[in-house]
Amino acid sequence: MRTQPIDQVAAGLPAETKTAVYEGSKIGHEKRTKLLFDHYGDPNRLRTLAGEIKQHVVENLDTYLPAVEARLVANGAKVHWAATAEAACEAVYSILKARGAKKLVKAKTMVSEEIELADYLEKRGIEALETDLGEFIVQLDHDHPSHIIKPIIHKNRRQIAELFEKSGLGAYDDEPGMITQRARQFLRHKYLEADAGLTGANFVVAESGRLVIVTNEGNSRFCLAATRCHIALVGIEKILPRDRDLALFLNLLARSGTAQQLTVYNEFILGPRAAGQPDGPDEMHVIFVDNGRTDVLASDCREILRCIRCGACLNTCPVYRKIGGHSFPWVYSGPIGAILTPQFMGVQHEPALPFASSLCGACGEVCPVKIDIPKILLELRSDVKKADAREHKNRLEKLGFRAFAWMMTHPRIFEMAGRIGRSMGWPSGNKGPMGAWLSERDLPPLPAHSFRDLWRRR
Amino acid sequence: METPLVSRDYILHRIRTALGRGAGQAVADPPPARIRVPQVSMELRVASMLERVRALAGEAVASSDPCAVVANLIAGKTALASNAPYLAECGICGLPGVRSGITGREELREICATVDIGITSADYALADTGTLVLLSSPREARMISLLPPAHIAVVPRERILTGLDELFALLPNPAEASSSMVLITGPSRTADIEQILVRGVHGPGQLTVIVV
Amino acid sequence: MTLTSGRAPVTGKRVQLMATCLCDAFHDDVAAATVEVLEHLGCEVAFPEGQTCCGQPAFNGGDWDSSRRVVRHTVRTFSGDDPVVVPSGSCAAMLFHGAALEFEHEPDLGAVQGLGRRTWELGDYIVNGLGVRSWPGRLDAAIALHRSCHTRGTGSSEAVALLLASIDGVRLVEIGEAEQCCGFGGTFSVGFPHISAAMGDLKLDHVRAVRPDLLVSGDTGCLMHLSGLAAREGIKLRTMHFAQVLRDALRKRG
Repeated sequence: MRTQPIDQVAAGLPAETKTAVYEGSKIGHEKRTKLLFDHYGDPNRLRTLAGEIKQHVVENLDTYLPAVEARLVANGAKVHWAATAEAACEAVYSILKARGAKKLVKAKTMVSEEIELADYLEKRGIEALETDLGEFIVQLDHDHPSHIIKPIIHKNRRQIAELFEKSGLGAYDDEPGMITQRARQFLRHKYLEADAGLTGANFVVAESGRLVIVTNEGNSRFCLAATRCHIALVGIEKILPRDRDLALFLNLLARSGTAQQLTVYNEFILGPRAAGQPDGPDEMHVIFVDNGRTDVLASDCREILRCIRCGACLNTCPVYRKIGGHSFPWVYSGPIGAILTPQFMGVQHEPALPFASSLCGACGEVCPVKIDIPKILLELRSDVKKADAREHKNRLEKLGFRAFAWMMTHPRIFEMAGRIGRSMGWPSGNKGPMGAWLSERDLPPLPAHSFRDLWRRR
Repeated sequence: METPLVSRDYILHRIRTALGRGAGQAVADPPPARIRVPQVSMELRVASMLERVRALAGEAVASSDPCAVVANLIAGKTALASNAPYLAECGICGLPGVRSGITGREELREICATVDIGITSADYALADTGTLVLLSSPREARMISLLPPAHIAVVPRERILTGLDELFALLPNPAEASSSMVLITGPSRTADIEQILVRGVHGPGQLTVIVV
Repeated sequence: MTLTSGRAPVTGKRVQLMATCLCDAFHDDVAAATVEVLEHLGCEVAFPEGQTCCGQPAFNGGDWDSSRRVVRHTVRTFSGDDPVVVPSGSCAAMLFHGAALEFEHEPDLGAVQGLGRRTWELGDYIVNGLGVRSWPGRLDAAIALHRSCHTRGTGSSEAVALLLASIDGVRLVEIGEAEQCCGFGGTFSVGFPHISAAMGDLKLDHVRAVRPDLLVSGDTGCLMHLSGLAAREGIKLRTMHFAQVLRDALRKRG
C-alpha cells in the first residue's frame, strides 16, 4: 500500500489553515449534538424517519419529478432539464441571454459549484456575483469553498482583511463585524442593479411545487426580492413528498448544519410574484439538474441521494478536521465527498478517496437522513479493487492481500511467520508497506513468545 | 444543444432504467409525515416567543399600546410601514417619520434603501422558535423586512402558534395563500468568519418583535 | 452501525477465545490476561488452535475475495454453539458487522451471521452477556479510557467503563473529544500515515491534558498506534488493555 496523495496534501497544509478548519468543524459538531439532544429525547428516531422519507422519494423519482414539474408549471414557473453540467450552464445562460441580462446575483448553491457556473458565465460576459458572505470572499480570492455550508472555514480573519484591502474594499480591518459591513455595503448595490437572481433549493415539495430556500444571511431573499427573474438550480433528488414534511426536515437541517433551531430565513417560493405584489420576480425558472445523479441512482448506493447537504458529517469527521476540504479533489469534501465524488466521477477517477477514512463511524452517527456512510465507503473500496483487478492495476497490493489470505487460512504458516517476525524485530528504515507507519512511531520490543506458545504450555 | 424536451425525457428514461421499471407506475405511499402539535396556553406562547426572540439577540416586548412602543423606537428616525391593515388600525402609519401606502416597485425600492426602519406585521408567529411568518402580498412587501437595517414586527398575540408543526397543520399547503412565504427567525446573521457571530449581513441586523 | 441481528443469549459458561492475530503474535500478555479474567468468572475457555485472523485488513482494504476466504476459515474454526469472546472491539465488529456486509450476496451468509450472533467483545460479554457489573481487587491508578470506534453502537464502551470504575482505587478521567477516532484505522494508518499521526497526536494531547497514570483501551491496535506515536515524541505514556487492568486488579485482592 502506498502513501496516498491526499495524505501528502494534508501534510503540507499551513498550520493556520489546520487550526481554522479544526476549530470551526469541532464547534459546529459540539453545538449540533447539544441542540439535538436537548430538544429531542431520541433524535435517532427523527433521523430514521427523515431517511425513510427521502429514500421513498429516491425510489419513486420517476413519478415525483413529472408531478413536481406539473405543479411548477401550474404555478407559473418555467421548467428546464439539464442532463450534464454543460447543459445546466447553457440553460442558465440562455435564460439570461433571452432577457438581455448582464448582471446576475447568486445565492449559495452546491449545484452551481458542481457545474462551475460562475466561470462559465464570466467567460460569456455576464457578471455572476456570489452574495453569500463566505462565497463572496472565496470568489474575490479566486479560491474554492472548502465546506458545504462554511465555505471559508479554512480562512482566518487576517487573511480576509488583507484580501479586502487588496480588493479595494477598505483599509485593513480584521474585525468580523467590519468585514461583514463592507461586504453588505458593496453587495447592496449589486442586488439592486442585477437583472436576475440565481438560487438553489434545499427542498422542492411534490404536492405543491414549492421551492424552499434556506439562508442565515438573507441573501437568497434579497436575490429574489430585488430582481425580476429568478433562476433556481435544483438537483433532481431534492424532492419531498408533502409540505408537512418540511416541519421535520427544516428542523433537522438547521440543527444538523448550523446548530440552530431554525435557520434565520426559510423562504417558501411558489412561483413568480402574483398580481399586486410590489416586489419579487416576474419570471421564475427551475432547472432540474442530473449531472451524474442518475448514475448514482443506478448504483448500489443510491441512498446517498438522500443527502440534504447539511455538513454535519464534515464537522464530526476526524479526518476532515485534520485536512479540511481542499485536500479533497472535488466540490464535496469530508465523508459525503468521499462517497459522492467517486459516484459522480466514476470509482476509478479518484480511487483513493473511499480509503481516506479510518472508518470510525462518526459520520454515520450524525447524518440527519441516516445514510450509512461507513458502509458505503466499504462498498466503494470493494468496487475500486474490483475495477483495479479488471484493469490490472495495483497488482502488488492484490498479491499482498492474497498472500495475507493464504497465510491466514494456514494456521501453521501464520504461526511460523509470527515466530520469524518476532525473532527479526520491527523492520527499520522507511521501506516496505510498514515504512511510513514506523517512520512516525516507536514500538516496544516484541515478546519472545506467541500466545499460542503460552497456551500449549499451560 | 439538446432541446429541453429531449433532455427531460432522457433524464426520466435514465431514472426509470436505474429504478428498473416502466413509465407511469403508481407511487407507493410515503411514510407518514411527522406533525406534533402540543397544547400550549396563550400566556406560555407569548412568553416563549419573547424569550426566543431575545435569545436570538432580537428585542421583544409585549404591549397593549404598540403605537407608543413604535413611536419610542423611531425617535426621530425614518421608517416605512407595510400596507398591512393591522398597522394602520394600531395608528402606526400615522406616526411622524413613518411612511406608508407605497405600491410602486421602484418607489418601494428607493424608500427601503434609505429609511432606517421597516415596519411590518406578521401573518403568524411561532412561539417555540421565535419565528415570524410573513406572506408576501400587496399588503406585505418583501423589501420592507429586508432592506432597512432594522425591522419592527407588530404581531397580535392570537397569531402566535406553538411552532412549525402547527403552522403546517393549520396551512397544510401554505402556498395557497401566497407565492412567497418567509419564516424569519432572528436577525440576519453569519458565522462564516472564524465562527464568530455577526448580525446584519444582508437583512436587518436589528429585529424588534412587539406582541400586542 | 448497530448490532443488526438478535444476539444469542449466553447460557453456559463455555467460551471460545479468539485471541486475534495481533495479540497472538505480538501481545501475548493481553490474550493471557483475557484467559485469566474469563477463568476468574468461572468460564471454561477453549482456544481453537486453527484460529488466525478475522479477515478485517483485506475487508477494509477492499479485497473482499481475500477477506471472505479468511472469514470462512474463521467460521470453520469457531464451530459449535459456544460464544466466541474477543479482546478487541474491532475484530468482534468485523465478525458481526463487516463479515455480514461482504457476505451479503454469498450462499454461506447464514453461517457467517450465525458466528456474528455469538461473537462478543470481551467487556460486552462480561457485563451484558454474564451480567457482571463490578470487578473485585484493587488498582491504584487514574485511568483514561479510549473508546475505540468499532464499539460504536454496541454496549462495549459503557461496559468497560463500568467495570473499570468499579475497581477499588481506580479513578476514571474523562478525556476531551472522547468520541473522536485515534487515527489508527488499520490499513488507513498505513495508506495515510500523516493524517493518521495528526489524529493520534490530537488524542495524545487530550490524554496528556488529564494526566492519567494509564491509558486503557479494548483495542490493541489503537494502543500500539498511540503508544508508538508517544514513544517517538518522547512522551511518557503507559498503555494497557483493559483485560490486563482487570487481571492486575485481581492479583491485588486483599
